[in-house]
Amino acid sequence: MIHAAKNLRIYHKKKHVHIALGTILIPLVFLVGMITLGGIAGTDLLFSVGITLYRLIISYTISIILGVGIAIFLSYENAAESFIPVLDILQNVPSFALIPIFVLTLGYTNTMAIAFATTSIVWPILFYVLSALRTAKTDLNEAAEIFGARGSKKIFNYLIPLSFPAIVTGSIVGLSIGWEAVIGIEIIGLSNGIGSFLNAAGTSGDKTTLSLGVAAILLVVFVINRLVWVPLIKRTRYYAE
Amino acid sequence: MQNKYALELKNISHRFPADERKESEAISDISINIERGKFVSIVGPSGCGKSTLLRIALGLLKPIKGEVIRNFQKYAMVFQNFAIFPWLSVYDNIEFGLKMSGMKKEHAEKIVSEKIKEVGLAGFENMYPKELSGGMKQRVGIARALAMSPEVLFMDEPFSSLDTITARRLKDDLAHIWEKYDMTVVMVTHLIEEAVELSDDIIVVSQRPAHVKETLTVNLPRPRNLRSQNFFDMSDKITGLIDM
Repeated sequence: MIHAAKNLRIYHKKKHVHIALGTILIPLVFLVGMITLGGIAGTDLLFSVGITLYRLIISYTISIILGVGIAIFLSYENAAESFIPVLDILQNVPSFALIPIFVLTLGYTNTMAIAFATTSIVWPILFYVLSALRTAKTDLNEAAEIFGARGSKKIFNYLIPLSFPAIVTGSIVGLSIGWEAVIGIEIIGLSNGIGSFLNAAGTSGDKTTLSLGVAAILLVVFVINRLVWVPLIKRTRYYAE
Repeated sequence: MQNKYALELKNISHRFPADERKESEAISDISINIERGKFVSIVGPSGCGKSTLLRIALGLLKPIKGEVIRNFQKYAMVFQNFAIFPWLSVYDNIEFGLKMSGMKKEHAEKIVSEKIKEVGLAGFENMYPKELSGGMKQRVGIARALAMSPEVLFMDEPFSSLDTITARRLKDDLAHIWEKYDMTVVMVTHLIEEAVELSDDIIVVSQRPAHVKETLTVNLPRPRNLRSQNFFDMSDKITGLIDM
């Protein structure tokens, strides 16, 4: 359990919960209304958004474990100097150039979409966290050690809370790239997900469905932003001294 | 039988890489014995290697030569720039070391509440470091250290980042706390008056590479009169030693 977990709680009052519910319900009612008025199969749209979100959440979860884990390992082992150039080259490889390799090994499958998106999301998280750990004030590191934060205690009580602003920033950047990756791969080769939904609407010239599909993505992005990232960004203000 | 000395540094030398080819000698053959229960200050010019010596004593740095004997189990440190964790409240900062030691929450709560009152932070428990003044941040640092019930308290220029009035109050509080706790204090400072005011022994170190110039015992009654002739004489003597 992260020591600072209670400090990272983002909804403290009833008012916050009401705002959060409003942020979800109002766009949802708007979307359902549009679907009804446009005579579109709403379940198709919601299912497509759901599948894409599922892929994104799994990719993000893997990315955050990998990104934060690798960054902590490199800072711990003091091995970053030798590994960073290698990681830098790897992250600069355009991810879409890797699609044929993913297709060759995994085919156009759900696993392939998740693996592909992970290779896009992980880099910003890894580099932001690594940078935060490497530039941490020496006396803070010393204080953590002197006051007993060692081994896993150091990871959960010092290194992760220390990297929190970097994790938030890296996640926001990583997820925006992740959306592109998942939707891109759905358009190219998958038969479900919002990318596939948009592709089908575009190919058949159905402008209403296409517009609603895009509107659904914007609403999901808006809701995630308001409910998750904005409160977490506000939490990072405590890090300013 | 308990060792007379809480800390023994024997023939310590240390070097830092100055650039790719050269190394810079920070400490040269320093031997120091810190007697248990005493308030000892290490005084020297800025950048002479005092803080490096403190970190070697703490085991944060390994010297290239020499031996460190630590005859204590529990220790804590107060930092020049406070080094309190910005993501934790005042209460959580003070509780940090106790939590890391695996102490039960109820027991830790009792100790933390006691230290909060002792350093004058009552009412500020839920505030975060960015909401505190420099003096209050250092009080959090001192409370965090005291919560550990240290046998030896290390302090690295603890008043250097504070304004004169805040530093004055904190020094008074620290003198009381030291008397109450019967612990060994090792303080590094470049402020001579500060060392004379608080210490039993003062170790004067030279310009880099640091070596011990002289160890002086301050035989002035406590609380020290900062305007007495003896106080000025002692301060002048140390100033003369550092300038030599």
